[in-house]
Amino acid sequence: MRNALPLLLVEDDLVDVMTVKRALRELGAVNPLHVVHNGEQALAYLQAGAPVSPGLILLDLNMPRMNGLEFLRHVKADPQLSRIPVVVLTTSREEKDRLESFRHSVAGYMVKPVDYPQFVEVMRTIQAYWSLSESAP
Amino acid sequence: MTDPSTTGVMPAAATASQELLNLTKALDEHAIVAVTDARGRILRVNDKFCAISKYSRDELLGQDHRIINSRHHPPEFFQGLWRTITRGEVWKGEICNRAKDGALYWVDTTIVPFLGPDGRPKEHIAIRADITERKRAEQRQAELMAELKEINQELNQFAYVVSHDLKAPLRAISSLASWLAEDYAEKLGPDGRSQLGLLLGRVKRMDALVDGILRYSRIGREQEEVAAIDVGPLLHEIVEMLGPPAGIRVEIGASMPTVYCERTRLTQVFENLISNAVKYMGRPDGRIWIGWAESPEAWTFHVRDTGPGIDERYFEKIFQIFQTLTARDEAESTGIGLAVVKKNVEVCGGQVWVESKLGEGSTFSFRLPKAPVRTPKAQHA
Repeated sequence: MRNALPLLLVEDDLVDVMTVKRALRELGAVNPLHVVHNGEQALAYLQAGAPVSPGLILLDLNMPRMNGLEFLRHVKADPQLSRIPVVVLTTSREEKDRLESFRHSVAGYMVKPVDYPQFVEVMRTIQAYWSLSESAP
Repeated sequence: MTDPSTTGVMPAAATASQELLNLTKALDEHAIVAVTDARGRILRVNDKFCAISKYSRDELLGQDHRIINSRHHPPEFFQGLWRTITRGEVWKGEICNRAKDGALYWVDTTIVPFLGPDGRPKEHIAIRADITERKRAEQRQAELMAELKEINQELNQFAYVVSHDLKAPLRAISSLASWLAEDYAEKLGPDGRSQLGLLLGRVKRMDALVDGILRYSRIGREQEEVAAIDVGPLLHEIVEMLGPPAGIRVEIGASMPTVYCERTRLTQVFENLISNAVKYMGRPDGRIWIGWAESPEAWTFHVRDTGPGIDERYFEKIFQIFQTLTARDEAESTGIGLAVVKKNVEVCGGQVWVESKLGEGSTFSFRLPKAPVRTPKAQHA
C-alpha cells in the first residue's frame, strides 16, 4: 500500500489475523503489519510512539477488554492519533455499529465476508483506495 | 331579554326552581361534587364524594382538599390549579386522591370558580368523575408497552449475537477449509478434496441459516411504504428470477389484481411459496398454478402444485421455524421459508394455510385484508 507505511491490525480472532495476512500476501502488499488483539493493546502501541506511525489502522469491533468503538473514542480524542485513517473490519451489519463508527470519523466500514475469496476482494478494495489516497502528514 | 331556555337546559322562571332541584339530583347521581369557599375549605359535598373518599360528611366539612391529597402530584400541579381558578377561569384535569383508608383513586375534575360582587372568587364548585379503572388500564397498558419494548430490545440483541458470534467461527472454518483445499490439493487426493468440498457446502448452509434467522427477526421490525402492486407482473418477475427447471410449468392466472401491500413482504411470500413448490415437486415434471379470489374485505391467493402432497398432521408444523419434512441433504432447506411467509402475512393482518392430500399435490393459500381506504380503489374491484 501507499509508501509501504506500516499497517496496524487490531483483531482478536487468530484466524481473522491469518486471513488478513494471507490476503495481503496474495495481493502483493509489502507493508509491515503489526498485530494487536484488543483496543487497550492498540492504544498502548500507538501512545508508546512507534518509530513510524501506521498509515492505516484495520479495526475489528467486537473484542475483549476494550472493543473497537471504545478504541475509536480514545483515538479520535487524541489530536496526534486522530489523523491516522481507521477502516473498520467487522462481522456486524448492525446499523448502530455503522452509525457509531462513522460518528467517530472512520474512513471505511467493511463487513467481513464468510467466503475467503470474497474477503480477498474486500482487502483488494482497501488496498486500491489507500494506494491512491493522500494521507495527512 | 333573551329567553334563558335557549342558552341551556334551564326552563323559564315558573318551573325554574323545580328544574334546578331535578338537575342537582341528576348531577348527584352522576358525579362527585364539592363546593368550597375561596380558600378551598369544603362547604358542601354530595354522597358520592363521601362514598369515594370514605370520609363522613362531618369529617369533610370545614377541611380543605389537602385531606384527600395523595402526594402523587408535585406542588406545582396544585399551584397551577390555584392560579387558574383565582383568575376566575375554569380548571380541568385529572387528579389522584387518597381515600381515608389509604386507597388511591383518580378523578376527572372540573373546577368552576364563582365570583363575588368584588370580582374575586367567592366559591368553587368542583365536579368529578371516577376514572380509577381507566387510569389502572392505562397504567397496565404502559407497563405492557414497556415490557414489549424490552422484549423487542432483547430480540435485537439476540439477532446481533447470532450475527456475530455464530458468523465469526463460521468464517474461520470457511477460510481454513479453503486454504487446506488450495495449499494441500495434491496431498489430499480426490476423497480429501471432495470432503473439503462438502465441508465448505455445510458452512454455506449454516451461513444461509444465520442470514435466515436475521431476516426472520427483521420482518416484524422493519416497515416499508404500502404501495399499489400489480400482482401479475410481480409474479412473472419472481418466476423468472427463480428459474424453475424446464419440466415444471408455472401458470399464472389471467388478470391478477392490484393489491395494496408492502412490496418486499408480498415478494417474499410469493417467492417462498413458489420456490417451495418447485423444490419439493419430487419429479422433473410438474405444474404450479397461481390463482386468486376476492371478497369485499380481502384478496385470497392460491399456489397449487402437483407435488407429493403433505400429510394433514404436518399442516401446522410446516409453518414453524426450522421445521422441515425432508432431510436437508435431499433438499437444501433452512426450514425458514414458510415461517417467513407466515410472519409476513400476519404482519399484514392476514392468514396463511395449506390444503393437501398425500399424492394429490398441495395448495398454499393466504388471505390479505384490503388496506384501509388511504389508497385509491383497486383497479380490479
